[in-house]
Amino acid sequence: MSEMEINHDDRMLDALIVQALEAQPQTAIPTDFAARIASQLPARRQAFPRQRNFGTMFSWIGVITLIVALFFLAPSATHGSSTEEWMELFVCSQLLCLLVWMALRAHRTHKA
Amino acid sequence: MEIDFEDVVREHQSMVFRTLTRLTGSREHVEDLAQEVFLRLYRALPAFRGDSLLATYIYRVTVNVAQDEWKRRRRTDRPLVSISDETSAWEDRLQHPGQNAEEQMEESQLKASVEEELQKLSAVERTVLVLYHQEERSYDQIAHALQMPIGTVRTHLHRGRKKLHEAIQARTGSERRAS
Repeated sequence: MSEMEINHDDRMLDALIVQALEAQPQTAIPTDFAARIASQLPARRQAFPRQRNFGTMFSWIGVITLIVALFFLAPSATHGSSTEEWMELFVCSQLLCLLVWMALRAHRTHKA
Repeated sequence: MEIDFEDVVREHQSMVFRTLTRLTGSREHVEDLAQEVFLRLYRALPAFRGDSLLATYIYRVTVNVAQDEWKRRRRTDRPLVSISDETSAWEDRLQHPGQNAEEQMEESQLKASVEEELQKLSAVERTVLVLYHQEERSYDQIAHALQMPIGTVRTHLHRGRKKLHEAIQARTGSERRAS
């Protein structure tokens, strides 16, 4: 066999191999495959955030309680003693700290 | 941004099934493996930074799942059922009604040989060949999916094709001598 014929055969074989590689295998995908996968996900999704929701819930309860306490303390603080003024200030700073903490936490969660 | 994961699965499922079938060389367990791909993808989505296409990212997960399957097979020493064994000859003939019987026979034999020899290549060579030829991915996308330099992808592609060529040539030579 001449060199030209060998080269031609080689090129033919290469082309046939590429053709075989390019042929896509037949696959049988169940019609409900995507739905089945999606139905498995919520169980995983719920496994973690529930604990985190407790923290947020108690933070909000704390905020509301402190605001209510501020309203109750406000009239007595304006006419009242320095003890009530100090209590008002204490509740106010608690509220501020809680709000800052909640904002930082929300920012971190959003970034993640 | 909320992604509808069911849509993601629907959009990429055929690509995942195809690639897994070719990479593992078998249709057995492909559904389970595809399920594993999407569950891993779901878990990994928060870490997906969007610096590559989602499809490229899915290829990376698919290749990892296929690699785990190869390791598992090696451990359990399970015999492979080749895709070429699973499709019958008449099924192949129906696809090309214009060809004569001899041509069809040769073509299906060559396909079966390519399939068999593909499974004998190294994992990385096989993966590169499948992603480049079957999935028509660019060098850049393959490099991203396999996390290797483009030059290495080219080398594996060239080496894989050469090995495949030599193996098929040796096979046809020995078949001719036998006949």
